[in-house]
Amino acid sequence: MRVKTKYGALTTFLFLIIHTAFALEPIEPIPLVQDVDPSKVALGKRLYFDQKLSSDGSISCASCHDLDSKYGTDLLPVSTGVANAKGTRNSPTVLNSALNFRQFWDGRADTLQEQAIEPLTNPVEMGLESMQQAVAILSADNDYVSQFAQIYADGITPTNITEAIAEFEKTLMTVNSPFDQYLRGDANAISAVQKRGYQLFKSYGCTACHQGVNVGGNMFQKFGVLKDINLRDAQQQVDLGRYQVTKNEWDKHVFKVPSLRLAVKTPPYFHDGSAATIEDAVNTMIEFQLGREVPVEDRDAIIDFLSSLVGDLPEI
Amino acid sequence: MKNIYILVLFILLLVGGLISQYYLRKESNDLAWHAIASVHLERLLVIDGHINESIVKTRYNLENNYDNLAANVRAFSDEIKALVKHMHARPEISLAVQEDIDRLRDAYENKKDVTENFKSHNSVLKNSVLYAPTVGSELIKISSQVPEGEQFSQYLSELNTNVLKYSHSTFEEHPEVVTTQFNELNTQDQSLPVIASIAYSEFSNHVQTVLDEKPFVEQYLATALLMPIADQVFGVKSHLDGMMLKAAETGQQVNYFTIAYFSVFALSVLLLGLRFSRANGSIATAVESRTRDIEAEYLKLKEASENSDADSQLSASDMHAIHAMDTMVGNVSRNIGSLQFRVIEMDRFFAWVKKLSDTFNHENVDKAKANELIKKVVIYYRDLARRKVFDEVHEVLKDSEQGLQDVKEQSAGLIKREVN
Ligand code: HEC
Ligand code: HEC
Repeated sequence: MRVKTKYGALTTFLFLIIHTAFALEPIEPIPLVQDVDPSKVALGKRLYFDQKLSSDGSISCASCHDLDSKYGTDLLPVSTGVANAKGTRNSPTVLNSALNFRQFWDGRADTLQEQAIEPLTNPVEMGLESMQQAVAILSADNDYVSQFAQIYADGITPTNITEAIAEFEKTLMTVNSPFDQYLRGDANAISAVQKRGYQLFKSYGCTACHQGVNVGGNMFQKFGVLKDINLRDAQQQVDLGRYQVTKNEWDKHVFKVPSLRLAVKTPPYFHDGSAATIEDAVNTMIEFQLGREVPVEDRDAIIDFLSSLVGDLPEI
Repeated sequence: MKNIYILVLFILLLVGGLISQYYLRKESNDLAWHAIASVHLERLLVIDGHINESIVKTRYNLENNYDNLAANVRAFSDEIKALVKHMHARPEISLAVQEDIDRLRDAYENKKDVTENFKSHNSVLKNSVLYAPTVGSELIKISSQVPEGEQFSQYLSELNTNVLKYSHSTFEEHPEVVTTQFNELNTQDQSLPVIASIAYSEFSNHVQTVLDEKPFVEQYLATALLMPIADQVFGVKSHLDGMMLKAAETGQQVNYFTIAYFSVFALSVLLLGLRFSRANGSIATAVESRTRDIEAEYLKLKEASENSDADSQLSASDMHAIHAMDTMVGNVSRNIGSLQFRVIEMDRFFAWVKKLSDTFNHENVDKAKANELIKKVVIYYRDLARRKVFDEVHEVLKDSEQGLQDVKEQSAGLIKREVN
């Protein structure tokens, strides 16, 4: 970039204004095709829906991540696992989760494959004793034995189970949302209000955190950056988020910034499901993440924009 | 008897041959092993470079999200895992190499943390910078209505508080950096309203000078707009180059890709034309006519893709190319729209500054001091970001580079020792 030093402060100022305005869009469309192995996908899909993989045979991944009308979640504040055990966190959608840079609210799993071990063996989710138990359950089923053998030389192993599930999850994308069509050049794919909502989403600074192909899911942020989150409804925030993983003081109340691609479809909100409506959630964001005041009609335009992010449900 | 000597000689030769075969093979295995290690290390260095580049780019809005950065950190982690696995595939690696690998891994973990830290701080910093002009313009509006400019300091302190809030949640470990900055600013607090008004009039003189040198502004605007787009155009173009080559090799779909290729090429030429043009008349008109050209090109491109051989199945990589082109063209047209909008805004901005300078010009205050201040306001955001975030990043960069270099040297040394 050529900058004439003689203009000092002015050039710097122009640089800030112009660069903020002209850089490429902070959000990118979801690619229309995924590179996956179809036979692993088929196996992973079967495992995903199989309740046998839980201690009491009642729970599958789909119990908490319904792929139909619930858009990859259970629509509950916190999830219910085997024997009606309650967890402490809100179940995020599995749709588009392959686009996240880490998995879980606190990012404790690096990949989908690593992630899948946890629900299987978590006492309040599927409740198996170990991955070896999963291997034993599947090995008792001749269908599984031959399906695994066709794909993997070493047959049924913990690694192969989680790899197949992860491969299936990579196909769970909601492509072609109106907003993606707009990004690909169809100026009429979204309404005038949604366009305004998008401008506001950028100019108020939501894109500083919710950005990239998944409109979130590519960084960690403190919940309550500009205002102490404990001041919200006088509720004490007990979940310290990423601190539990790193034990770094500055990671207290830090969470993975969630994707907003399906936000309008997946209430309630936040890691603890503490915001019942999308309006609640956005109000909290404005107050605690931006430290600003935003007129109601601007907020509603932003929410209208969020609804343009919903793409087609994947064909299962 | 003679036959026995010949037999013995033969056996000796055979054994010698086998033994040297064995050593040769072992040595070439070693060579392969080291070569692979070097390839991994080479790749680590390259990815490390990409990470550093992304950090700087996202800091200055040349990259507008962290997807690239996150992908490179992931790639780095995969590469390290591959390297470690490779190193450990050979039982007798030296202690020195083992230590270096450990150091490298530590440096990576550290860098990962710092990158995460950078991302979250940088985001909030950007919001502060975004917010500053809003507050700034509010403050000018009000102080121009009220001659004493009473509200001026109030707003400025709001701005300060906001930045302080930001810095508390980011620079916890080094509060003195922030404090010094603000102490400096606060010592001038009493005279702020007056000084600032003069500062802005000084500022407006600058703007006037720049306006007189209009080609500079034009070029600046055009460059700022087109740099990222041109990047993308050439990205797509090189992608298409590759596909053309493949199409030529397999004799498939040449028609469609030729057309697509030339459309995109035409588009890039147009864009570059715009970048280097010193348009006569207003920028807005020039931009408008270019927009029409680009849209026409895009229609051609679309048509070409629709008219392409309907029977031929599009492969995944074809789909990727189309996706990339669509996105690129979408970006182009939106950026052009935003340029037009920005031009209008800039006009308003200049008019507004002009009015301001008229209002304040008769005041009699120390201009040098005023200038100093306005520079500070603009610069201190940059400093905030640079000092802490960049110091930290920089240190880790040095650390991980050192780690890589060490391992590289060790591995090169090993190769030399064992080959000789
Ligand atoms: C009992 C309900 C329950 C079951 C069963 C369950 N999950 Fe989850 N899932 C959750 C909750 C709650 C979280 C968030 C936990 C956290 O972040 O600490 C989660 C998180 C995830 C995530 C991370 C998404 C993100 O954006 O971070 C993925 C992926 C996922 N689950 C996939 C699966 C798969 C695959 C299975 C089956 C093997 C499964 N889940 C079974 C409740 C469940
Ligand atoms: C400083 C970073 C940051 C900014 C700026 C930000 N957010 Fe968030 N957002 C977060 C984090 C972190 C969470 C998760 C908080 C939690 O659950 O603990 C979140 C959660 C959300 C959720 C709930 C999603 C879910 O599935 O639970 C919505 C909706 C949302 N943000 C919308 C917005 C909007 C709209 C804006 C702009 C007005 C915005 N955010 C600005 C960081 C940010």
